[in-house]
Amino acid sequence: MYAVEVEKLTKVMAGRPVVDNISLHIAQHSVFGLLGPNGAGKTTLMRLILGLLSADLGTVRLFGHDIARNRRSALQRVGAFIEAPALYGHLSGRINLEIHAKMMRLAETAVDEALEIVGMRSASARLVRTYSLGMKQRLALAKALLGRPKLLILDEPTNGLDPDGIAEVRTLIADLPQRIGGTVILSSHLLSEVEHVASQVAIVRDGRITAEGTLADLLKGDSDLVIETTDVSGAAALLDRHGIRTDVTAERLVVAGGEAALGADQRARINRLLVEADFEVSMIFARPRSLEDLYHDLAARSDHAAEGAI
Amino acid sequence: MITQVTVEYRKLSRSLAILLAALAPLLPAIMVLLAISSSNRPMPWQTVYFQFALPIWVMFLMPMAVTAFATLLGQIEYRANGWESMFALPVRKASIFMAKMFVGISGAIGMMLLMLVLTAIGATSGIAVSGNIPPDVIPWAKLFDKTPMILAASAPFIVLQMWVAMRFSNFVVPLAFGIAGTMVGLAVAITNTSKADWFPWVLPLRVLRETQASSMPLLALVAAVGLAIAALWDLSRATLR
Repeated sequence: MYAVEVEKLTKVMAGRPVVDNISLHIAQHSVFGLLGPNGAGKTTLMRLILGLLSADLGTVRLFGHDIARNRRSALQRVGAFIEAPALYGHLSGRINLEIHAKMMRLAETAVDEALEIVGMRSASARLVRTYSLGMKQRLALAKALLGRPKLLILDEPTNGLDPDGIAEVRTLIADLPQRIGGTVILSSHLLSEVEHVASQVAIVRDGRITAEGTLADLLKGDSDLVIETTDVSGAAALLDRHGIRTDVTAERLVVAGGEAALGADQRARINRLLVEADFEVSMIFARPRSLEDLYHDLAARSDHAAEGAI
Repeated sequence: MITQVTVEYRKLSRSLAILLAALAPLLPAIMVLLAISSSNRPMPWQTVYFQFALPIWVMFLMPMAVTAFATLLGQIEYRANGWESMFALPVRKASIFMAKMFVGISGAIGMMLLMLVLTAIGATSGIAVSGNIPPDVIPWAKLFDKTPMILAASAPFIVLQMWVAMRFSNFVVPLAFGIAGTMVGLAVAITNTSKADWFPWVLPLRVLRETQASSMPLLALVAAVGLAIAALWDLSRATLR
């Protein structure tokens, strides 16, 4: 049985499909990353998975329970952190957790355990409104961890944090699968946030899953070739005449992944073409593809496919 | 449901809502204290309650206090992003709203009872300052008779106010709704028209003025139950955040 099964899920808002025919199958005891730029539909997808929004089409099942028909059974032992920490500022950190634990009918020891995991035990007596954003994020994480959920859904848990806070929360999340022994779904627009944690990722763009698999597979072999030369536009024209497509960014010539991935021979050929045509090449190197490049490529591919369809 | 109600009461600690619930009933007491202590003549207890404190409370202060209390209750969740956090739990949505509604209604009851007690304290203090002993005793029997009737008649507007406070994230909406209801109620009271007797904000004053028992409080309670069911149905389907 899958932890999460999403079948042909669609949600239309203001006449626009925010989630468009998405299907996902997330195995138990795994960490699944949802990657995508802001506004891609990740949060809406997570809200749909939790039943916080009703889908226009499609189904969501958590551990085999349909969220629309059997919400309470589906949400048994699910912890969630959606967008921003949901905390009562006029209450202490501990009381915030106690309230949540009481609603979940958990023993008070669950509160101590969750506080211990996020390292907030000593600050738990303070009012939440006196917390820094990082402390609020950690307390919200503790709230999601109450009762050791079998499924933990974390939506952009490092949003708004400073670099130290990001590092702290990232370390915490990396330890979670071992600590709770369940399934974690983590959404982010930052590759760095999921790359060391997630075993599987899906890339969401314009409400659709544009790629799915392991991160290594998605980024594999796709290095860009970056060239620094005296006359960037002239070099671009020369390479174009030889059937090599290029982009000019920041006074550099970039041969995108597919071309450069042909290997050392192709890179040597490009270098030779430029040198023989009297272009002074001061630097040429293969740069590993970033998530941003991947987004860009996937967008270009989907635009291309859309144009083809017309 | 009991768990939900307990949780809701716990959320009130240190909140503005609880401060308001403690302060609003103090106003009639202060007014009574000032009126009695500055008067040369004794004020009968009958007047203290039924021509002074209760009319002010029923016509103006209670609707306004309920408006503010309900708005603050709703805002506790909206400010904390609490609705979604609760809806992501394996708890019936209706029980979450029912618990909130219960706290709103019990808050109104508590404020009214506190007002009656504080008025007695305020009047006693005024009597002690002025030395004018009232010719009668506190009209316990009438108070025991009227208080539940007034509360029953208030139930429809309390439920409506809680519904609006939970439904809208913008606090201006429940505030404007409550102020508008109170103002219409006041206008009806001032003009003495009988054409708006059904208006929820008018019902408590009507009960206060009635000299004979009527079925109106019971009808008001039935209406409040109907409104509460409609509110739960609507809120359970709404996206609150």
